[in-house]
Amino acid sequence: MTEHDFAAIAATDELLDALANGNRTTATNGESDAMTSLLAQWRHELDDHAASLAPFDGELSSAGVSPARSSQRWARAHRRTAAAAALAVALAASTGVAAAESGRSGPLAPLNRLLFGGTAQHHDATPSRVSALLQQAGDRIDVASEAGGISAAGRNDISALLNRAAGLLAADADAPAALADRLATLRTQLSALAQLPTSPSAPVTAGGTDNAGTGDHGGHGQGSDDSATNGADHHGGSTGSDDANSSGTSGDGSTDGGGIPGSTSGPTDGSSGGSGTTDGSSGGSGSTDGGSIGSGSGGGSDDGSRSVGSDGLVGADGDSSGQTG
Amino acid sequence: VLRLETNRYVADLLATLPQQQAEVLRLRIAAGLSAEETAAVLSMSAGAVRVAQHRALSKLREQLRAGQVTS
Repeated sequence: MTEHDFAAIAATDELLDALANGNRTTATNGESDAMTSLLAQWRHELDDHAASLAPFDGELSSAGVSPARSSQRWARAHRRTAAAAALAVALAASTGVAAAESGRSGPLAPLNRLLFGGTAQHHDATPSRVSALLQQAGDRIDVASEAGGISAAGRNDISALLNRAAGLLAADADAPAALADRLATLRTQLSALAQLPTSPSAPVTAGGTDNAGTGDHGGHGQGSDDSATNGADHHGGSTGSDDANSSGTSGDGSTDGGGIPGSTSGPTDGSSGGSGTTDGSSGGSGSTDGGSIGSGSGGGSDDGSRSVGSDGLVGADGDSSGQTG
Repeated sequence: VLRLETNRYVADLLATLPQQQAEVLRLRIAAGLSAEETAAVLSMSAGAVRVAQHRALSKLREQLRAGQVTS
């Protein structure tokens, strides 16, 4: 390959970079004008169509998102869509599945149609995904409502869920109207929620899970699955002593709406590791912002081995005969 | 309203290319991925992507010159 070839390859790369960025590049020589113009027009029309899928600012501001932020959000969403479409293309190429069936519903459908041609076949994927998102948002709103308010972070999380649902609905003209109604209702409910101050001692919103520690360590609270976004599970756990003879101290919930300390009495009689006393059971961590309410399940193991690891994961040796906390 | 003419014409053009080259152009232009990102998606090296896209565009130029693809 000659130096000229390398230069030509580099020039082509620059041209494609410009096209990918939506620049209407003018070709450097007359020969490539037609092709460059064609590809630029193709890209431009894809952009035009993708822009038509963007949610209205009015919708987002009703969810507490400023227009400026919504533009950024749209840009990110657009990028994600493009990346997802790219993956769909790659899948179609590598597996031979015609027209990337996975991308024929939901937000990828229009782009999928543009990339592959033809008419997307509607099926139930979008409604079910939207329903799941709305259900999740609704559950969180309910919990926050019971707690008397919601933190800013929690509001943003729920808004994100609703915006994702809105994006899916916008891309699927055949989606049931009831879903749009439900979305609007949830947006209203969310905007009506009082704002809670964000502080480490944020009000407790949900009871946590108790897992009594036994054996070598006092147990750690088991965080709910929603707590991951808020790191609550790291704070809700109790710490037991390393020598397994003293009781652990109860956790006090997470920093951001953690769970209620558990009151489990885990009977323990650890044989080898000593007994972690029942007070060592942890307060489980609830999630922030109205995370799911954990069900108490304190347990003292009867073999004295470790029962619960950090982050609320049950350890391998734990023979936790749980008692409800 | 979708303007499908351009898309169909480009699709016809891309259909004349080897599959991998066509995929590279779709990912680079339509999806807006960089050469590196495209390489990651297609399990190729970035250099191979650049060579493939260069060859692909060269072929497209030839076809446009020859008028082999009509919309």
